[in-house]
Amino acid sequence: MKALTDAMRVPALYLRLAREDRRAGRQLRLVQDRRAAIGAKDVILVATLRNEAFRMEAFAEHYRRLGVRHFLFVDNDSDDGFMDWADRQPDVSVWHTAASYKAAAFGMRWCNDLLRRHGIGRWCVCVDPDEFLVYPRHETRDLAALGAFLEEDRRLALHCLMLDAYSDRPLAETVLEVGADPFAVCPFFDRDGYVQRAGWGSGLFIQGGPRLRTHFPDRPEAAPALNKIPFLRWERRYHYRSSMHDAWPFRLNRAQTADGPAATGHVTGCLFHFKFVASLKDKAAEEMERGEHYEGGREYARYHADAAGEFFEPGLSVRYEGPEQLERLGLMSPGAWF
Amino acid sequence: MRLLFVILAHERPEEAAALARALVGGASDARALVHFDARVGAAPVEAFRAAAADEPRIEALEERVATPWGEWGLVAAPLAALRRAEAMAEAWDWTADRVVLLSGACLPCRPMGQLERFLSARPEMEFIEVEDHAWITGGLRSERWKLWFPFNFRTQYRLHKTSVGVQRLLGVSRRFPKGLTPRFGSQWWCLTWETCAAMLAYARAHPERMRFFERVWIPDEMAVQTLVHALVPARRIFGRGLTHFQFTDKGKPVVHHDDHLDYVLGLDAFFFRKAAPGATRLRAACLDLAGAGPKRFGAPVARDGRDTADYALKVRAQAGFPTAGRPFHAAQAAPAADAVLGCACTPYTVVVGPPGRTRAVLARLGEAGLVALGEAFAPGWCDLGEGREVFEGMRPEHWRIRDMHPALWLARLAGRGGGRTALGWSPLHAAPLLGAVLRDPRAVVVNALPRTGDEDADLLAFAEACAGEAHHASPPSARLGAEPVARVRAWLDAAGALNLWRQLALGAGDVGTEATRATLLAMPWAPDPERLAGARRRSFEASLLRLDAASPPAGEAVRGGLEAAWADWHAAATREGAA
Repeated sequence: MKALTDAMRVPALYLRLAREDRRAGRQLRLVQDRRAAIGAKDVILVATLRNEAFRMEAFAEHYRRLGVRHFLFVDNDSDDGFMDWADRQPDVSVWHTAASYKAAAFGMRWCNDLLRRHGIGRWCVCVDPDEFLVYPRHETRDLAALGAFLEEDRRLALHCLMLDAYSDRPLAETVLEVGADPFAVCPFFDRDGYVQRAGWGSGLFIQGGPRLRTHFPDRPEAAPALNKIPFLRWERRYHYRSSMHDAWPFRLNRAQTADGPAATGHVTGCLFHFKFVASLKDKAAEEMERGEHYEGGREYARYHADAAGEFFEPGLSVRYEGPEQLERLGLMSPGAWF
Repeated sequence: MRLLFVILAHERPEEAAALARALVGGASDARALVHFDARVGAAPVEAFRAAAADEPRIEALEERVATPWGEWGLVAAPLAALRRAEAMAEAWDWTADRVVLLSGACLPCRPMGQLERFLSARPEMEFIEVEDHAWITGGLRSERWKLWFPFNFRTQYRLHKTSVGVQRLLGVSRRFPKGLTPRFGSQWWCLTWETCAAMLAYARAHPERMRFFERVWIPDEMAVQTLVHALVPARRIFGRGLTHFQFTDKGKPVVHHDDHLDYVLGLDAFFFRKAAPGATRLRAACLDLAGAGPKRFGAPVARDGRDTADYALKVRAQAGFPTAGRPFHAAQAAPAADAVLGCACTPYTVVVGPPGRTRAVLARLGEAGLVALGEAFAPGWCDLGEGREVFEGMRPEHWRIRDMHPALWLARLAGRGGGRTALGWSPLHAAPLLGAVLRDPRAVVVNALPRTGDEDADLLAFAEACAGEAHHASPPSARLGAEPVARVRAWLDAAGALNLWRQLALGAGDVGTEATRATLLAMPWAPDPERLAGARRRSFEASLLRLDAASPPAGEAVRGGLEAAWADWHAAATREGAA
């Protein structure tokens, strides 16, 4: 009997996940449809956002350069003119919803549903609008080339370390103007100190960076996860769990596989996280009121309290120079990608 | 020199047209016949014809076959091209001297002028791999032709495997055609027209033998090779083609990108495969190169010049040496210690002993030029040394972060000091990591434990020296109560440090590897000045000799610091003895 219930558990889980995704997907209303422009083998990007219009120019520019051909955005009720920006973009489709971000597993169920509808069999980028993907040799090789290599290397996904980027000035002076390049405004990141342990679903749980050392030195186990899976070839059974940190089925979380070269590793990337800019102050106040984020927005409560916002630490903070630098520091690896 | 390029294209007609144009344009008298995979339909061929309409020397073949991986089409297509060239010889008033077989994903990496010179200097040579079955590195070997393969390897993998297994059980063994010996090699070749014509004649004379090859496993690595072996004397076979190719450890061809331009220019070949679809700059540069003057490149292509080592070395260099704690390396995840220290390539110095004692030694090491930190692994405090509030971004109050992955923290401390980091370490602190340090050949370990040779006395002396330390597990009071030695021993044991202490204090058992012991320095110390004897000094000096032999980068500074610390202690002990 127990064997039978165990055998049923996995199919039951996937049925539940599929149902939840579809239910969340019904909250979405297509408001800008340019999907006709999507080609059969194009790399697409899926993201959920709310009042991030000031970032979109640089965001779209960065991912277009990497070879993203179409953007699928879930607009969680923005009122900052996001739609005006989107209207000018030939490669952007937008779904609108005013439903709860939290109830949709922090937007992931909306993304899951869009990926199910448009991403199956295709290499997809799934990131937040403040996350900028970099990977080895991204200046000369596009995401399609990376996807082709991962496929030939029998990899299901690109695992990335999230690098919290910050400036060497107080938070109030770190202003990200509309359309500004965030790499120029927040050029610094922690060169090391990323602690990894066995994590959920055969994955590796990574913590570290400025948030660990300034916000969580007293209870580091509660620090945010920095492992993400932002680039993968979507399949019908796939589901992100929460915020692209981990996913079902478990094999997606496995950054190292037994058939890989034992002592070496697979290709990995980094995800620059440009969260620590002046606009965050306003956002923190708003998000605390909404309580829509993880654990009741406790992280935002911290940002609100941390008036100086000083992450810069000589000796630990380094200025971003390019993908070779991240390889040199060991934060990402080209693996066997010749 | 008249060259005929036969190009097997799948899709991307514009790129195939550009390749054919560059090859024909770069050579002095050349033609190109391009075969499109029958599976892609008519549209790409139309696009190709449109793109090459103004170039009469380029032609898309009318006769088309499907050319999926590992199937007969990959032999039938070049043969169709050869038949076309033969049939058109009169109409064109042109017969090739040489035929070069390429794929649409191949690119030239040397000027065609140099290719012509190279071929003219070797007038009778056939550039093709012709090897026996030892050439096949894995999977099926002679079974490639002994068995039948009715199922597709890629789409019907299970059926394919089952059918191979069943045929093995039944002992199926097809007879190889009479007069031929099976030979294998890469599918890309460059042959003289005489040999090509002889192959066509052979195929016409023995259609049943050709049909045999239609049903072997991966005929494109076998059919032409076997025919050339039968038709051409061995001395005329060069043994390799003119196309560079390299496979990954997953058996896929290596794909070249824009950043590979320098690499492909150094290849010992005239063509390479394959270029990534998005590598537009690489493609443009290589096509441009095809028409360049032959003098730009001088190095000849050697018969045995298989430059695979470069690829293997580069892949090993970029993936085989992870940094300490590299993300997504399971072996580097907490609580791993040895693997992490093994990947941190920086030497460091560790003074093991009670904190009071190590402080004195560290002070001298600091004066001698080392970066002397304190008891960095003390519980509840990462002691970075007197008055140091932060060390390169690491702070004493970060001890909980340190305890998440102690080995990574140590690797960071060592790395930041650039090989000159020195730490104090009580054997009671982070004992598993200290054990790994003792095994780490890059650690210079200074043993500053009380060592009189009497275990009980040393235990008591150690416990007494640890008493009253702010960031140290408090020892049981040694002077009071029954069986003080047993209680001290239990205290060490509870911290998992008893064995470490025994190894270090008594020299019992093996302390790590040979390499470790070479840098394990005796800094003997006893609370009892009577013990300050010549023998101790001699053992100290002997261990300094070991330091010189191992010569770590900071060896001179370590030596100087230890000499000074020894002199301090000697003076203090003598004073005490006198008092």
